[in-house]
Amino acid sequence: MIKGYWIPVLHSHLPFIKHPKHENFLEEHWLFEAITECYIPLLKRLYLLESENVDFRLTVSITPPLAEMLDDAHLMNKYNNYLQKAIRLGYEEINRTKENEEYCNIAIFYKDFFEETKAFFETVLEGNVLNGYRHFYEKGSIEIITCGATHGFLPLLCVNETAVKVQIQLAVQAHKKHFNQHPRGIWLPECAYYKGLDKILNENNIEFFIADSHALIYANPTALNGAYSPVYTPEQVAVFGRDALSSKQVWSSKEGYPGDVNYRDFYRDIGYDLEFEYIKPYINPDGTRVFTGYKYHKITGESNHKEVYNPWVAALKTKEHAANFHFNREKQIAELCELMPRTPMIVSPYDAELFGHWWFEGPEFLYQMFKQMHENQVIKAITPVEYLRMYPNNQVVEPSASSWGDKGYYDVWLNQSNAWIYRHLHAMADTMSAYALKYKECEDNDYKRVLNQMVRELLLAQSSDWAFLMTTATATQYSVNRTKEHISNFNALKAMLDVSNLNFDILSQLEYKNSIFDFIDYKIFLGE
Amino acid sequence: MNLEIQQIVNKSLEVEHDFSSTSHAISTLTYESSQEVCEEFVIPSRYYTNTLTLLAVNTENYYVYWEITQAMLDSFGLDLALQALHFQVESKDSKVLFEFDSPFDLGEYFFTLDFEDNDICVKMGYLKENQFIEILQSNKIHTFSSRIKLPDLSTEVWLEKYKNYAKIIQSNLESMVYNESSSSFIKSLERLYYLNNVVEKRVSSTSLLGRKND
Repeated sequence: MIKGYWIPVLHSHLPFIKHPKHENFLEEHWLFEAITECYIPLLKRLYLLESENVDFRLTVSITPPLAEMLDDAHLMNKYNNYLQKAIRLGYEEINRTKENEEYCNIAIFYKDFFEETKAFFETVLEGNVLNGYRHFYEKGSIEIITCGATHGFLPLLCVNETAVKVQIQLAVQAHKKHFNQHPRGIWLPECAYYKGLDKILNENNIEFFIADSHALIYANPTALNGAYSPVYTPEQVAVFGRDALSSKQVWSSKEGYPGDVNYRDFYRDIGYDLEFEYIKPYINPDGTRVFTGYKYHKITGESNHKEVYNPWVAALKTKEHAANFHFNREKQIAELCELMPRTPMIVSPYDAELFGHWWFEGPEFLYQMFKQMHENQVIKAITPVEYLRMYPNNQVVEPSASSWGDKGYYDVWLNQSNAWIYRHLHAMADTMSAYALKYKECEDNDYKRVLNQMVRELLLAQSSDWAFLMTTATATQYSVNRTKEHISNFNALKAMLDVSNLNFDILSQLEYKNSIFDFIDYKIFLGE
Repeated sequence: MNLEIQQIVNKSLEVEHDFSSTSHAISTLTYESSQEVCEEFVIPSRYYTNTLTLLAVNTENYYVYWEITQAMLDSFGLDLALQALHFQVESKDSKVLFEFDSPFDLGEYFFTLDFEDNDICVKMGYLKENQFIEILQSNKIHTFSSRIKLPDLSTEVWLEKYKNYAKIIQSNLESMVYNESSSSFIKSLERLYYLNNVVEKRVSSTSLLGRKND
């Protein structure tokens, strides 16, 4: 008998990164690593569940920048090179470790892993990762939701309301382009909500979004079922609150599953461990050591001493952890059933990229979770829309402004390290509104190209990732430079219009490099 | 607030913030990143517009940035070398909550203010004979809330069955008239108005047709 519902949500996002002038650009590897270790391993297991007739439901946000990159021929060509290089390294590693059976078996494991990834990518996915997601979306086992067009932190952009409307409208358009359906839900970038945002979501026919639990608890009035059933905003958009307990169980650095001693150690990689001359062809051409994906050690413990990783033992561990997760949800649901007049739901949102990249065994854990639920028939995985169909009447509250960032508000995206960007983002949005009006009747296609590219540069500057990385002081230089690049490009394009002197070389370069949203129309900034 | 709801609320807040953006996926991906920046990009140092913008950081911290043009300063006969700009953070009812001065025509400022769940804005101006002369007003923002709003909301339990909802509120309102202060009464009236609006909108909405009660 089903006693409760589980709504797993994976937020898949990477900022739009494309550097056509460079044959090898380090930051583009973020995408390649995520495809190899996260998206494809997840899809492979979903296909496996399908073949085993295991009923599962998963809600996945695929942000527009990620979808655009996965659909980009230039980047996918580079991804193919990335895989070939990884396979070549596999053969070298088998040869290097042939005297040590323990290491050699792992080298074979990785070589097979990359070869199978390549085969799956080329055959099942036909060279496009989105095909895998589309398959399950069309079948109804995955609910794909959208996100802000470029993951802009909406509460800090809403000084110009049109900027927020554009983020949402373009997100819907991009979703339709990639998935041929109108998105029913949205993952608000960084789960960031502010009063009034629900009106824009409603205008775009978005039925639900995910928020952190304090958005509901500090709502006006407080959500009486806490985070365990949805609420409606005054504009009738459903809000699903994140369950902190199930999040903690998976991600806590102290108690979470990924810290198990048998799982693969994320940091130990031959890209850093082996002699420079040997590994040189497989790291960055400038000599910067990088992850190669060949990691021979397990977490082992807190000291620097690391034992050899055994992928088969680690896979067995995921089954144990899935059983533990299931047991704890069952217990949690039993407690909630005593308190609530309806069947509770538990919403567990996670960053998709952590399943597989940081926690290498994460996709296998998810696979085992769905198997557990299928076998036990006590908890059922469903989508937010399915829950709303079962329970259409919910409390109406005004959610509290919030985010899922550290401390729960906007600190991560607005502090001494990144506050400087907002003056520019707001000024650019105001300019875009003014220029959309000024050139409303424009018939000149070249002028339209410039205006459309201005929108792209603004959108790319708005990505919350840059502000985030400035705060965490990781990839700071790249983030600062990317923000400045888009501000600079925007103003250069504006100057072309102002003096009626279009530089087609620069325009073409920008169109090819920052090519996000080929369907864009600057008139979207009219805000009509 | 009954015990069950109190427990649910507590459970929802358990280990709140334990998972946060500190373990954001991109942090692990950016473990490796280019050390060298290939190009330097020039960005505007100012936009030659009159701007005053207020942003909320958290429940007690706020950020304001501004730019004022020479033409605007001239129109007020202001020379910043002689007189600083004066900034006032004001509540909806124009109560001054915080003040600071700046001699710069372009600047930014972080300030602390404990004033939850209210509308605030910033005004830029100058002091003339102890009188504040306003030049610019910022956008209004609604400050964060970090409080559970339990008082007088016991009726919310019935929101699940909204067809009965208006009637329940009405009966509570009648008892309040005799038992509570006038400010509470006005607040309750506002709530009733807000919630009735919501109910009316929902009833009239075609998108909700066909939905059944739990």
